[in-house]
Amino acid sequence: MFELTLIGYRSKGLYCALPGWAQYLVDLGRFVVTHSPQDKRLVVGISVPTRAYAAALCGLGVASAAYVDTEKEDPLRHFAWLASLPMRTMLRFRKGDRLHCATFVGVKRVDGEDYLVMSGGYSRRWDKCSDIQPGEPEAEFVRPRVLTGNSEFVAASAPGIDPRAHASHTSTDCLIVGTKDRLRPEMIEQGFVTHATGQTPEQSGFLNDLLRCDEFLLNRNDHDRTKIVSAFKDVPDLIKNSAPPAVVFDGAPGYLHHRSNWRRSARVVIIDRTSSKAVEAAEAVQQECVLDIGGVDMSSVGQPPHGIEITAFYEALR
Amino acid sequence: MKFEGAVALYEVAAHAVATRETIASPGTSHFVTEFNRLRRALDDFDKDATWQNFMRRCRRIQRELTTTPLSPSDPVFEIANSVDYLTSLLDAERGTYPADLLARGDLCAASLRDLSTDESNPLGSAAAAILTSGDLSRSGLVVPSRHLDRIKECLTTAASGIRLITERELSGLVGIESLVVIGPSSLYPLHLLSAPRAAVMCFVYFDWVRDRDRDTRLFPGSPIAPGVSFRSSPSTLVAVPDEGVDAATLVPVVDWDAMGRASSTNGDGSGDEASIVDANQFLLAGGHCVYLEAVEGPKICVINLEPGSKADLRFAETQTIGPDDYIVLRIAGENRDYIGEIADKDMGQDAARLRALQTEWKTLLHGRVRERGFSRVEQELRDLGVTRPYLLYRLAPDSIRTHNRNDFQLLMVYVGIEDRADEMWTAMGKIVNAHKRAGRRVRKLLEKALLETDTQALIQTGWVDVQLQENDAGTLSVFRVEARSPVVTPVAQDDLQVLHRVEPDLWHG
Repeated sequence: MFELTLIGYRSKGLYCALPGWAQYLVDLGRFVVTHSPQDKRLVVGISVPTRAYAAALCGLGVASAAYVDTEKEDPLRHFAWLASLPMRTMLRFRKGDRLHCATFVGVKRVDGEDYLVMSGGYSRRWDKCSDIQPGEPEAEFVRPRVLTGNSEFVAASAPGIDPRAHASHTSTDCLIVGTKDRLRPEMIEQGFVTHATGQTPEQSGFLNDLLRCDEFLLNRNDHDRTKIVSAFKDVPDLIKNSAPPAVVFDGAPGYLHHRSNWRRSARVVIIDRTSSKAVEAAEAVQQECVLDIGGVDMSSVGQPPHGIEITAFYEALR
Repeated sequence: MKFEGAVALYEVAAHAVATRETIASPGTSHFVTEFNRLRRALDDFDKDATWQNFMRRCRRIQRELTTTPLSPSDPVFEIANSVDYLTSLLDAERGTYPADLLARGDLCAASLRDLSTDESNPLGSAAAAILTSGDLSRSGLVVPSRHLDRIKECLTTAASGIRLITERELSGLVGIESLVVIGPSSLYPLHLLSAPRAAVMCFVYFDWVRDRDRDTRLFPGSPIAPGVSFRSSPSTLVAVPDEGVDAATLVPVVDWDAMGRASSTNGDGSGDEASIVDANQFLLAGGHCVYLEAVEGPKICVINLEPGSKADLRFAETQTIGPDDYIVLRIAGENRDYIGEIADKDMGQDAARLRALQTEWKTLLHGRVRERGFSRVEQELRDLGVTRPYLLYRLAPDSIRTHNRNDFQLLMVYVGIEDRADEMWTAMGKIVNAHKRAGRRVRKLLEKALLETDTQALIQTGWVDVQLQENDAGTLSVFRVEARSPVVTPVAQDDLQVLHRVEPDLWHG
């Protein structure tokens, strides 16, 4: 999990803090991740006056709460795991702000210390391997490449995380079911800024710098943390069978189409009240309530702001 | 949308207020009173075809008067024609029904005749007065799309600069401060109140209409109802029962049975079992209707149109189509299957051979259905191990092969050409691929054509013809779905995707 602080936007040249509704959506996203026990599932339905930015902001909350810095895990355990991989497994590692690829060659011992050996004669001592990860099955072996990302903005808006670690691992922290074309301008065209303080200058960036949606990253092999699934198309089994910490449904059509998927993940169903399918989707959310096994204390998120209507309940996992 | 746009919409949603402005109109009031008296007098006869037709026409006129800021004498209402029509209905029944009932009908028609010369336009005048008292560039007049052109024409003369907005455009509005809405709130989608697009709204309607407060909550039990706050309660006091109309009764009701009778060649679903398919009827913008399959398999091109966003095209199963979807139909030319036609061109000289093979196995399957009956064939296919028989769809000319190869193999076994199953599978695969290429091609052409189309006009009117730039698909028509029949009806294959004009009384009455 990482904390999000001081994000705002510029209006007529002036810094403006996120308005209450936007902050509420971010907080709601964080809440569903942090309040989802193993044995039950949290279902949240919200109705909003416009779908604009709702899923992106809620997704930001989900992604920030679900973030795990794998490089902070026990280095000895991580080394042991890497050492157990089959020979010639493709690995990727970071050097400065570049990602490199190599194959796993073996382990050697030098001066009583274990080293991981990779192709090209490159080796790393056991306690310096936390950035080394196996390549994804479909990943191509590529030459060293610059990590994409806006590290200044990430560092300023999410203090405490290593922006390079954030940008160099793939994980499905958040899944958004929606329409790519509608999310694109909200995630990679609308600028947001951090609030300048005495020590730090204002930094500007996009929501996708923090969300890292696979669809909107610069290079095909960049590492992503949020996946977008089309509201209208069927999803591949690999994604269908995954269990992300939370799924954000951006609108009624996607929810109505995909609601039977990701039954183990917490879900936020965003219903734009102007949608012709709003009532149908709201009824479907209420139907899920049949399995309601308890109300949800949402006091930590605060009262929903004007314009947002919310229902939330836990249901038994099926 | 820029983030500031979303901020503005939430601001509006949090603080919007609405008022009701009721307008006196002696002429329309007289008609409503006579119509109410007739309705109360009908009692046992209100199911009779004559009186149903009479009431449908009166209801349609009542609604149009309520929502159209034009004088009753305006030609768009066709009131003089309606008087003739209603009188002819009554004349045909003289001596059949009690004289006092027919006299009530005559009084109703007479009140309409008086209206046909009424040149006052109280709704239009009130709306113009409210709008011109503020900043016209940040306000708008909300009207239903029917008669939009005529309203535009008249209002331009009365007060230039008034922006007309139809209900479908409401969700895309940004930067509007005030809206004048013609008619009671009950006649508009709930989101006009629950997701307001203007900080101030004024509903202008006749004083004989009784509007209602509406619950704007989507989730029952929500502590706060989102949306506008009304500054006044709807007037509910009516001294004489005959003088008022509950706004809820003005909401159009589609007469699906009558529409079905009027638009299918085989409405009772009788005939060759294999040529009958389950379908829903769809009411389309502009007063058309069409049947689309209600079974798994068949697809149709759908356009998602969201104000401010690029048109998004996809092929969706016909059984999932619903209100507000924009569907693409080919109404010109003989062949409605434009994808198939393009695919044939794509396959070139091989097309005839491949289509002959497709026809061959379908003919054999049709033969089995004729011999053994539909239900038995379906059961036998299941017994054989076919996981998804979808027999109706398999019999239809536009299905090509099963999704699952084993299902296809078993189907070939069943129709007696097991030894040619591989040949058939490969040939059908070529047709499937040609269809996919054709679908992508049409999608590309449509996207290109839509970029050159006035999508705002499409949202306003609900339909448009799109001329594709290459000749292979010709002219396609895009229609917004207004309503979908609640029940599935068996119809002949030949009735699918055939556009019919709907008599306005059947969906406005």
